[in-house]
Amino acid sequence: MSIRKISFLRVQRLEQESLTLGVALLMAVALALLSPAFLDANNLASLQTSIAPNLIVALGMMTLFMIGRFDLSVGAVMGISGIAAAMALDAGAPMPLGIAAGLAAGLAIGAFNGFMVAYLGINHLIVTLGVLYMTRGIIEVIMVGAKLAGFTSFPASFSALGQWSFGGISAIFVFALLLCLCAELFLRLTFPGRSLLFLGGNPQAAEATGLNRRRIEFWAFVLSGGLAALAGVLMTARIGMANRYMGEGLEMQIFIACLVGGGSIGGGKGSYVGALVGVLFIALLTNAFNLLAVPSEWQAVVIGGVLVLVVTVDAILVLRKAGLGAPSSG
Amino acid sequence: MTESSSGPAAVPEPRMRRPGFGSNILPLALITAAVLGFLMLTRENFATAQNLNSILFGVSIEFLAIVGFTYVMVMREIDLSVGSVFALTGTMTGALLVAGWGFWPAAALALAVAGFIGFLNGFLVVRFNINSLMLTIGTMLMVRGLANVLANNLGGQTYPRAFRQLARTNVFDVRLTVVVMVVLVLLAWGFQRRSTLFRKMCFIGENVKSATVHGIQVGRIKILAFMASAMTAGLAGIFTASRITSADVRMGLGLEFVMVTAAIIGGASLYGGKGDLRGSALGLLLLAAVLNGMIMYDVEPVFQQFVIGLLLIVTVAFDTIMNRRRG
Repeated sequence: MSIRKISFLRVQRLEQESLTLGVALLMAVALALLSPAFLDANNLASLQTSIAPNLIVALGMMTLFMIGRFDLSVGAVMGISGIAAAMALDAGAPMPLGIAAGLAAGLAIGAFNGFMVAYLGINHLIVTLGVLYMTRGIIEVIMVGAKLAGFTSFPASFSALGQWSFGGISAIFVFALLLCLCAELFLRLTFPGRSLLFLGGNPQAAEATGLNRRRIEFWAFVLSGGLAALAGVLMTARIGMANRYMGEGLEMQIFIACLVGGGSIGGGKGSYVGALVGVLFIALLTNAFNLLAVPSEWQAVVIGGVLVLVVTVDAILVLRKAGLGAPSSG
Repeated sequence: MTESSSGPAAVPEPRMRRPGFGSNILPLALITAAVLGFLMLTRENFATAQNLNSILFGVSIEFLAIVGFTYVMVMREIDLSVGSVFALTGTMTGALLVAGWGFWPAAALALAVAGFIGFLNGFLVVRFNINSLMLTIGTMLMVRGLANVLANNLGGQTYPRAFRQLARTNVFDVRLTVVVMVVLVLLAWGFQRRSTLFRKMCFIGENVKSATVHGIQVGRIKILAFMASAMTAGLAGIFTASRITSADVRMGLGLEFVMVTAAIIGGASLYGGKGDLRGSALGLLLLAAVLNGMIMYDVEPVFQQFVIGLLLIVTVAFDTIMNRRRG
């Protein structure tokens, strides 16, 4: 925010992203100094494992943020797609079919969310919260009587998919980064990409120019569900188990990641690079909790505090924007 | 069964001349009575005095928490932190008692903390025009974390005997909370019918800009409502802590969604401008009957979460379709 003249960052609309990146880098340096375990190969590997799925989920969430929506069911979707894939593999299905089963579960839930929000016009927070509850309920019903670890036996090829790595860099991590890069290019270079931000910034004008708001909203929710499912399947392959705990509380982390990464609840802002930066920030924060042995209940306090702070700052920025005469979307 | 219980949300007329009074109470009461009657006739262990008492007792405690919540919804805001505040206040009172405090100072301090959280919610919403759904999710996480810190420190210790007796206080053989619920429902009836404050609240919910133009102190009323919401939730939390007798990290988990669903069934709307405490009480009773009925019919208890989520979506869907602002 300290940049006054029109700089590169402002032209590219990356001010908040670079601020967050700066904070994240500071955190990384502080952690490296405070905790010798931070630069340990194991810790770096676990950081990659936590960043990769979160980034994949955040790409979907950021797309929704751009058009002024969000999806709180992503954590539960991640969990249920992992379980769906595991169940299909357990029943003897070949690997592609298992993956397809997981993705189908996520796409179906995304389509349900999208239908309720885009076509019936129901508050997205309530719909996705309700779906979060329902999905967690289904997971509990499926896992009744199952061991805490859940499904653990997978074909070797499936596990290899998750554990594939070259020189300490996990393939899933690289895949997530590539996905993020493609999404950013899509956002900046193509017409549908640009129209996302246009739609979020000024829905009436966008609709007047012929953008189909409902259809874009619907597909954005499907995308979010599908990406969450993809992350769930990949994580199942990576950690070698599908249980009821996967993705629990993830929605809030992703939500915060997108907000600190430049998204806004009001829509019309955000970038996929921002999603990456936000995820990096949250991953480092959680990593700091673990390295500095902060009890889990205090972690919830800090996460909630960050959310309150971020929402307040977001509201102040929106107020300031409204004060400059831009139409408010409320 | 889940489908039939979503019916009442469809009943209210889109716009009433006298908002908040005499809306859909009668149909809702009939549906609740029908569900209760159905369960009584089909399951013999439903109509036992013990089961009915425990349902009523549970509802009467949750009712305390929905008092402020309903009036926050009337003003087109929402307070999702109620479940966490409920847990924090209850656990905190218990923790202070275990630490040797007297009951009244402990309860007063815990309620003051709840009031402060409510003030914070209200102040941030009013001052910065923050979407209250989002903000209160943040405070929900924070307060839940603090409640868990306290609960873990207590490590499952039971609370002192005197505190455990509180929820079991009887007035003429009826639980104190049930009596309080009846009194509050009667008071709410009068409040909603006669008070200008309630009219102002409905007006704020209907059109906040015009309310401001007409000189209603929107900010002050909203902050007070958020404080009331947190403090009534805290009061319910104190009774609940006394009822469950020990610190529990699951206390009040998901309560906020039960509250939203019950309030909307009872005639409130996410779009503000209406709400009825009597309806909210009936909504809670209906939900409790449905959940209890599921247990009676041997539905997996884990399925409850699914049903609460489904009911939330269905009632909000009805609310949206009935009350959406046109244009």
